[in-house]
Amino acid sequence: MANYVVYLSSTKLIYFYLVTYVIVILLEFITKAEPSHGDRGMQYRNSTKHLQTIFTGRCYDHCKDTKNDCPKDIDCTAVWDTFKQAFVMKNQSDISPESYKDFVQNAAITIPKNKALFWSRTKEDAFQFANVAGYVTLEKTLIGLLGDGLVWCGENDNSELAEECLDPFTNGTATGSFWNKMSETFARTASGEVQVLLNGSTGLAFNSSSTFGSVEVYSLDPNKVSTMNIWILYYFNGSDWVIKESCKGHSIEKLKDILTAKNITSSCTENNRKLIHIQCARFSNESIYELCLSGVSNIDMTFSTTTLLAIIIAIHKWFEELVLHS
Amino acid sequence: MKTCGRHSYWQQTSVVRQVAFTLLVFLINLLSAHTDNSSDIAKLQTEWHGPGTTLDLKEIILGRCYNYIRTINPALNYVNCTNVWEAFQNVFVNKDPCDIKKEDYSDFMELTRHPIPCGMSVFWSKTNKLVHDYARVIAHYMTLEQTLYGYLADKLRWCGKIHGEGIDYKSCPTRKQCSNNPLSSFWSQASKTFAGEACGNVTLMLNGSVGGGAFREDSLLATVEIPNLNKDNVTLVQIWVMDDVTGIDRESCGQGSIVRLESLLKEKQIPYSCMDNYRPVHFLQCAEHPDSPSCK
Repeated sequence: MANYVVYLSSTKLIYFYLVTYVIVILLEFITKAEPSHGDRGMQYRNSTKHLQTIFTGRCYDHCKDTKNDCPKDIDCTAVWDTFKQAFVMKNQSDISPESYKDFVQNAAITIPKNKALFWSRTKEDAFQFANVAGYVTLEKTLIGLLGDGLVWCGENDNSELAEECLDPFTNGTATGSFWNKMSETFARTASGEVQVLLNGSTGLAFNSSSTFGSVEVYSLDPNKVSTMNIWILYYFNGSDWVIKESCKGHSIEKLKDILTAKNITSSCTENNRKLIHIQCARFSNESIYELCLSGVSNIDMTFSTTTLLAIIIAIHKWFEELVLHS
Repeated sequence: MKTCGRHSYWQQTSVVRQVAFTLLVFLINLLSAHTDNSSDIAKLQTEWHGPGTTLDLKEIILGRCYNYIRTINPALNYVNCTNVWEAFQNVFVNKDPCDIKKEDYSDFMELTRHPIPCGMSVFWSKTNKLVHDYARVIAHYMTLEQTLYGYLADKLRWCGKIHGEGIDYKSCPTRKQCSNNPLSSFWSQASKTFAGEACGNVTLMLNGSVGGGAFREDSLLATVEIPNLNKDNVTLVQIWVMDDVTGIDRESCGQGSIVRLESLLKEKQIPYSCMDNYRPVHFLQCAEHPDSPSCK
């Protein structure tokens, strides 16, 4: 009798587990079947308070200097209005880059010939590089500086800005589409020789999922842009130079192919002294910046060694072929 | 009634008197106003020698205020920017631009002053571009122009006038024309506050190539900042004498006007150190001129 009871309860147990298992599996399917948000984490961020005052203030501030790139007789309140119209009264995830078309027309920028500087994964250094070499980044133009560092969005049925923004800077959001459109505009306006500062310490200096790799390079106007000068920036981590990719790297070849297809010539430099000095200036410890500077010759060494090796291998192959054919 | 008649006669005469009196007063006012006007017109026609007030000053300052407290230094979230603007404009609007003293800015300073972490204060003289390029690279330095009060006013111009809209957009007095002008008094007060807040090790960047001396007796540094350093809070003044990368080495530590600075600090019993062409800053100069002999 006891055995029978045990037997019965164990079968019940088994059934119990089976049912639970099935329910769990079903639940998994149900949750998986929800529309995937891609890289969205469903994160809300506060929008910047007093955005309008900051925005128009920046406009007046930048345009008071007549040698800056503002259109003549610019009306900063009209610029704000066209900016706002791009995203208010709309769903937060449904803003296209083209919504900012009127804004871009009102805030039409000019870039001096040969001065445009693009960057990818090198923001702070690009800023410094632009400073010392006299280049212009997007964030230095009117359209870039108006939005730099700010978070904004609208919402359905609200003619004012919303207080919380869903996943800003992703595709389809007010901020994401803003930077998409401004990057495209910056690239389309650039002329002459343009520059790009890429990160040679990451292993993927030219990244086709970055804004540069997916928007800017394709928006260059071949009728205006003759050459793109590629600068590879290496980071000094305090003890070593981190060198992952050179001008001969695979991703750089890819970039060059894209440019060639657009009839734009290119050049590439790894060891620019201006960039090295900018890097070493960060370190206020005497021994570290001596190491930093001395590492420069190490970069040279690395490349000369690899070049030497390449030559030796080539000679060896040629010799082999010679022996084979004789 | 007899009294009525009499009353009305008195009334009539008093009305006439009142009217005559009023007319007289009016005439006198007109005359004095006219004479006042002519001296004021003369004042109105005074062309100051400096550029006039920056256009859209209010929008720029309000925008900068919110920009600073929301994106640059969110620790100052509590600042009320509309009050700041009110206090600022009260100093000079509708006032004689030659009668603005630095104490007039005390309400504004109360609303905008903030503590500066020890070791962060950077003073400078004749090294504007270099010191700010360096402060951008090294996050833990702060110049006067990076404080809230300095940031609000940097590169702006303003002055008032007694008549009309109260703000003079045409011209503003230079220091030579009168020393108690809104701009000079502002920077004097702001420098005083900035120096008073300094603590720990502070930095001072001087120009070793400039003619007239790296440390000038008439500079804000000499007249306001050094005198207002608090010897109980400041542990060291580290002096960097930077030569222009393409310029001459006119002065170095222990030479010329630098000696005067060193003795001033000794008098105040504040320890100091001095270095010529401090390497990290020199690297930044080399970033602009990598082919200079001193950069190779």
